Amino acid sequence: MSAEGAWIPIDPREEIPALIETLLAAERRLEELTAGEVDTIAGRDGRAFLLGRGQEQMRSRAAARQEETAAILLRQNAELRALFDLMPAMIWFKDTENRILRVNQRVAEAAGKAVEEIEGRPSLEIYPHDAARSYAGDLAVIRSGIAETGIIEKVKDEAGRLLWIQTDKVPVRDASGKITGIIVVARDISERKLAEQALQESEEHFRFLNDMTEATRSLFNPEEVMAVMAQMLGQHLCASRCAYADVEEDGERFSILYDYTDRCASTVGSYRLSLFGPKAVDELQRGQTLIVRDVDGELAPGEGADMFNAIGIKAIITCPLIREGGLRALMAVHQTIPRDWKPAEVALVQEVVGRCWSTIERRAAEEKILQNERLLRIAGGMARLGGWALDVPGARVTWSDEVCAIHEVPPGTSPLLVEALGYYQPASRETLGKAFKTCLGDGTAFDLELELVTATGRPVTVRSIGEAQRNTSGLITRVHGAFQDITERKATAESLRLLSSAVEHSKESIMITESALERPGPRIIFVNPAFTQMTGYSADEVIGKTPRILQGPLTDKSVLSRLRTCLAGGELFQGTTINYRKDGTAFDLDWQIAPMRGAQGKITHFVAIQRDVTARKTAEDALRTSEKRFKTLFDHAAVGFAVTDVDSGRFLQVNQRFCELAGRSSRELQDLVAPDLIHPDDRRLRLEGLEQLKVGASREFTGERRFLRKDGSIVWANITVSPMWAIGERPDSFITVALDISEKKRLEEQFRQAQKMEAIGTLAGGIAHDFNNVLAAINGYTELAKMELKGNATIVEYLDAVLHGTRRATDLVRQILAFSRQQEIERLPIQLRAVVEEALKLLRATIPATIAFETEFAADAPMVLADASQVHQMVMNLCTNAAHAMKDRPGRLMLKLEKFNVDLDLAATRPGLRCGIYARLSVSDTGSGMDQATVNRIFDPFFTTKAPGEGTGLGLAVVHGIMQSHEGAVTVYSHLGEGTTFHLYFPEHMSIESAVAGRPLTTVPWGLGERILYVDDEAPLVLIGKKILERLGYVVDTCANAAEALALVRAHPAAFDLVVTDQTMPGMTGIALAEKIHALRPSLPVILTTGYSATLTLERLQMVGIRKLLLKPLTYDALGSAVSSVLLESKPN
Amino acid sequence: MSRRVVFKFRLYVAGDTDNSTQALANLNAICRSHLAGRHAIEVIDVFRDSQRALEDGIFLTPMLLRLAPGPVRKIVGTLSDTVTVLRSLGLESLAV
Repeated sequence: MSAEGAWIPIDPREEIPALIETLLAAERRLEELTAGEVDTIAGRDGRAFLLGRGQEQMRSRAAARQEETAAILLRQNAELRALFDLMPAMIWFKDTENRILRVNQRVAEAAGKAVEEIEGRPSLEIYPHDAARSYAGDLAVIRSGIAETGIIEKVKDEAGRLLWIQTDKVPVRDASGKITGIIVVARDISERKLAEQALQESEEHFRFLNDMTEATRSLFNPEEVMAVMAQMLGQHLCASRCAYADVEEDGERFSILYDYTDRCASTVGSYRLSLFGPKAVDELQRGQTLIVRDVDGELAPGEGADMFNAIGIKAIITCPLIREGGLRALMAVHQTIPRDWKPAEVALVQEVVGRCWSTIERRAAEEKILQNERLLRIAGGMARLGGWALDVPGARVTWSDEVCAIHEVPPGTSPLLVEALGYYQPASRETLGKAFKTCLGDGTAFDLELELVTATGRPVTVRSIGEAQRNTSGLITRVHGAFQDITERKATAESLRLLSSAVEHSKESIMITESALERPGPRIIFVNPAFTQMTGYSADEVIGKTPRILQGPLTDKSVLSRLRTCLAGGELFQGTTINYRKDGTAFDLDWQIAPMRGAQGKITHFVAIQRDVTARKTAEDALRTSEKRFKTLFDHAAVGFAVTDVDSGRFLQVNQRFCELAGRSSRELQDLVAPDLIHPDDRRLRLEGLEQLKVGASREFTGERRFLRKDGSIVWANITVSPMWAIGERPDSFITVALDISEKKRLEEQFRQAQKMEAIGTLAGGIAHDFNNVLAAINGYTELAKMELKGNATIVEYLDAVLHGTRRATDLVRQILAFSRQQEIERLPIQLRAVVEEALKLLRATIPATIAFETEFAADAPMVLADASQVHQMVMNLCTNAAHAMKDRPGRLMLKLEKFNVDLDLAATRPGLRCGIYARLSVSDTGSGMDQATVNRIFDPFFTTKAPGEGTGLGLAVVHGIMQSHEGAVTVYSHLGEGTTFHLYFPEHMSIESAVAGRPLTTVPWGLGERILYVDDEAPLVLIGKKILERLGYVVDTCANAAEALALVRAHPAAFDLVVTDQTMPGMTGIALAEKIHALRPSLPVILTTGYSATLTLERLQMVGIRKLLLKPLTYDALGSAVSSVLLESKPN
Repeated sequence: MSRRVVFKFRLYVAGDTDNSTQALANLNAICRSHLAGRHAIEVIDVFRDSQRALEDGIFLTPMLLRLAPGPVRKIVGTLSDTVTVLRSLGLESLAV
């Protein structure tokens, strides 16, 4: 551009605004023309100019796009950062100066720092230990610009685990290609490495197994297979010892035939599995592999550690092989030092034991097949037996070597069917031809005897068996069969037939044997029917066996050896031996044996002719049988038998039962004489009886005698002695039959006791009434005395003591009556605790101080319905027994009362108990305890362990009876030396009434001047009754007898509100009186008092208007309460 | 007119200014509705390829050229008035 061109000729301040105005006008016009639909205009040079609106739009778009791009970049950056952090590998960006530019989260985690703390810092600062070493590698990459990947290092982490780390280092270049830094990526590839390792191991194992299969392929002997496998496995695992063991049928013993060892002793031998401890036995028999990594750490001495230590073993794999449900074999791998067996190693042992087993099994099976084949070939040769086959297409016959030999043609000859048929005689050829035709037609098998002429012209008889073979579509493609030269057999059979028909009918027993005299002896090849008749053995049973089967324990061995000598020398033998029939019976046999010689003069057989000479011994046999029978009877009889010498009294023979009775063994009895067994008190009786027998005055005598046993116990026996005559007229021995009658004696004794107790009971019941009245008087007057003497405390105290004594005496009488069942028990709702405590107070005085009492009463023990005096009695009985069990020794007596829930289990096992809540009273002692036999009988009446005179044997029987009548039960637990516990179970009483010590907790209500008629024949009692009732505010009239009382009521029927009458009165009983009063005035209530109420039933009382029954002696409380309650009930409303 | 005639269009636009964007959207809509399967559209941005605009004598954008069938026709604007556009393109029959 020229200088002029640079000059602006017009004043821009004038022209430029005009130009702009023009532009704007042009733009506006364009907008108008195009209705605003145009964005640009283009000049001639093709440049497009944006119109004003378009320019604004472009500007705002560009701004928006810029913001958007910035947002995208931010987002992408955040995403990349997250991805970067999430990468499982650790990633570092570093500059060429080894300064860390960026790292991902993994790196921060591994370093235990925040990302911000790492980025921007020199690597050496973050990794002071290994940065230098690693930087050398980094530097090489930076310098060369060549990435280095796949650097694999083994490092240990902080926990000491071995890690495999793979590191990649890649240089970072800027846009110009200059290296500005490096990226380092490190990954933990331990898992992959382990997997690779496992794969490698498993490959090794497969290679090993393959090698082992190759090595044992050619071995047939199972022991060799075992040895090779054990050795290979041992070497492969670098084990100290490796052994394969066969387990015997019983699963308890195993044998090691060979073991591989490396610097340790061999364990070849037979062992008991249990030696290796219960753990090993259990695991192995369940098919679990026993793995022990350290014997001392994992096994206790009793669990096999001792055994393993004894053979110097610290680590074990023992792998069982279970077949058909049983332990069959073991493979054991041992190490003399502890070893951490790997799963792959264990699996390998398991694999090998399986292979070992199956290889051995297979070898055995193959060996057997080979053996069979060999045998078959030999047998075929011997029997001149061969096989043949005809292939239908081609009609060619294949012959086995033996068939060729029979035809006398070279082995391998395979003629056409027509050629084969050519060997036969015409008749046979026709038969065989037909048979073939049929067989080929419908598959009918054949079995023919045929005549043929061999290739050398020799006639032979053959047997040919054939059958058809079909292909899968059912078409007959082949006929095959067996072929045998039977020429010789035919000839032999014929001659034998003649001979045998001769011997068949012989009456003499004939036996033919082979000639082999050496063990097992000549085999029987023939016996005739007479032999069977004589011995009981059929021909089938003896053929193939030796005549030895006829011999037995009584057979004379010297005769047999003479027999052998004779026969070996080829001489005839004659002799008699005892032989045995099939049923085991012995018989005498006369033998005549002749050797038979073959064509060459060699002895081939022996022929024996035998004659039975037992007939004469039949009688003896019968006798023996009878004796045997008698002996059995004698030995096993339920009664004792003894045979004694008449003069010395020595035992000649005794049976088992007699020994039991006498309490001695038969050997001990040999040294004794009969009187020794008899109780001294009974000996005289016995002697008298024997004398009578000796002189023949009686045939036998019977009596009951006591046997004194060795242990001092006594057994009652009923004995019957009778004489036995052998030779001469005087008896030479006695036979004694003894029967144990101890049980009978015991029952008799028990019966006597029971009768005695019944008598006591009757007597007690009889005096009880009188005695009760005496007590009532004492009781009543004492109470009255107390009332009068309110001021004098000392005397009142004395009177209380009298009252207490009287109450005890009353209870005592009631107990006597209860035992003799003459008294109704009075069951009231009570708390057992009070009764037990009262009983203990009394017991404490009588029981030695060496015995400590312990009591435990649960607060929630339920109330029970019980007779306090009976409970009292039971506690006394049980505690007295307990004290007796701890006699002379310090001990503890424990009483425990608790609430007890009887569940179904207990209820099922204890008669008398039902499911539910019970109050359980337990009495335990630390005494001598009892054995089971004693426990079983403890509740029997009259059974006692105490010395005579010390106990009645009734105590526990009474307890049992009382608990039964209380709908409860008593149980006992005891062991010798461990003390005894009795549990008394009382059913819970569901009552809202509360009571203490059996006496209702009520205050006696006062009367309101009601008029009472009091009737009793005993004046003192009348007085007491009157006094009590008057004190309580009643008006009382009294009568001394029933008649008087009845007259009074009759005269003033409406005068009385209540009648109280005694039951036992002269002239008229209380009940009779009540009945009459009831007739006069049914609404007048009556209270009956009585000493005991055995004959009174509630129904009967109610029928005659008696509202209540009161037991004497009457107390203030009882009488007052009864009167009040009866009056209350009888009031109209 | 044969139904198989292919319509070739060339649309000149100026970047993504409103009118140009609108014109391209309208052209696409017309072609989809009326010339489905028988049209081709070439879009040329005059800011990027000013030479082509010069060669075709384009002095305003947006401008649509109907190259085929001949003769060439030019339409300026946003192509919002479909009836007019169709008529201009010789597609009167379709406009009804």
